Amino acid sequence: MEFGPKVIFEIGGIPVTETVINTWIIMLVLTVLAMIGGSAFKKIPRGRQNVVEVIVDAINKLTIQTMGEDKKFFASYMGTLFLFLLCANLLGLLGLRPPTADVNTTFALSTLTFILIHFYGAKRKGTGTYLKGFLEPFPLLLPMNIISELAFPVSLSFRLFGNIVGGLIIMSLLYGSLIGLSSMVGLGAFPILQAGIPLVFHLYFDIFSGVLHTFIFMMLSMVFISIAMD
Amino acid sequence: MPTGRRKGNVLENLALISYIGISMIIPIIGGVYIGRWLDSRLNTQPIFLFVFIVTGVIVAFMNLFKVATKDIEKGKRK
Repeated sequence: MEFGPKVIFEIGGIPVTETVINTWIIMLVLTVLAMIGGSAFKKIPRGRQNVVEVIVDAINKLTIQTMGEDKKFFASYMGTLFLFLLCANLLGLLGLRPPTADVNTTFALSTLTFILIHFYGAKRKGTGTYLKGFLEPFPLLLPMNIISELAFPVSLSFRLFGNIVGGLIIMSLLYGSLIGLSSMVGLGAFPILQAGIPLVFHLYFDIFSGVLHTFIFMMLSMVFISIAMD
Repeated sequence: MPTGRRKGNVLENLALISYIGISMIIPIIGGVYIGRWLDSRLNTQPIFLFVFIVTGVIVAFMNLFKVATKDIEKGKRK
């Protein structure tokens, strides 16, 4: 069985995989939702404005609670991360391949967080003081400190990737085995067993695991940026 | 605290707990791979492998220490 993302077409020798197509779909959906949700605000919220305000408020509050009042401006980044990862992880429910089941997506996102950590760490503390932090507690530990920092994006991205791709593989194996099981009972043309039974597994691998790891990714980004800054 | 950041936030600490495991395993595995690659390049089996495994283990415990003492250090400074 092949579990890697399929190449759909090529643009000038660059392969465009399922991952990229599904990312575009999510981008489109989120952009349209943001345009619809963000237009024509009124003083007294009604209907969809209430929903938008609840989401924005929740992300703002969580950011302030975790990172502190002075780092409130990270709420936009964290909100984007949360909404994108949530849509990406839940895409498996629609029968599409989640973009996060590709290490390129998760590594790109964790590289963004990595750059933010070091950029804002250096900006807040001053570059000299920040670089001196690598020599603590004593200068001999410099290579260890550098490896420790470099391990952060790897561990953050591999955890999300591993969990989502693990769920994906188990789900596709389960669907395959259910087809075999149906044909053993004599229902090969009409695999009735595929209905209902995968529900429990979708509930765990897609909904529970997906939402949990979205949240953990966002939370760890917040925590490590605020550790670097104060 | 002046920053308004609450200590002992449950969700924050749960996320950090789940991070401890993988943050300890990644430097060790990374060390093994870097060491093996350097050894095969320089034909010095198994010196670099051992050096990088030991480095990886030290880094793993440093990561653990950093996560575990995150709030303690802050309390001391203020």
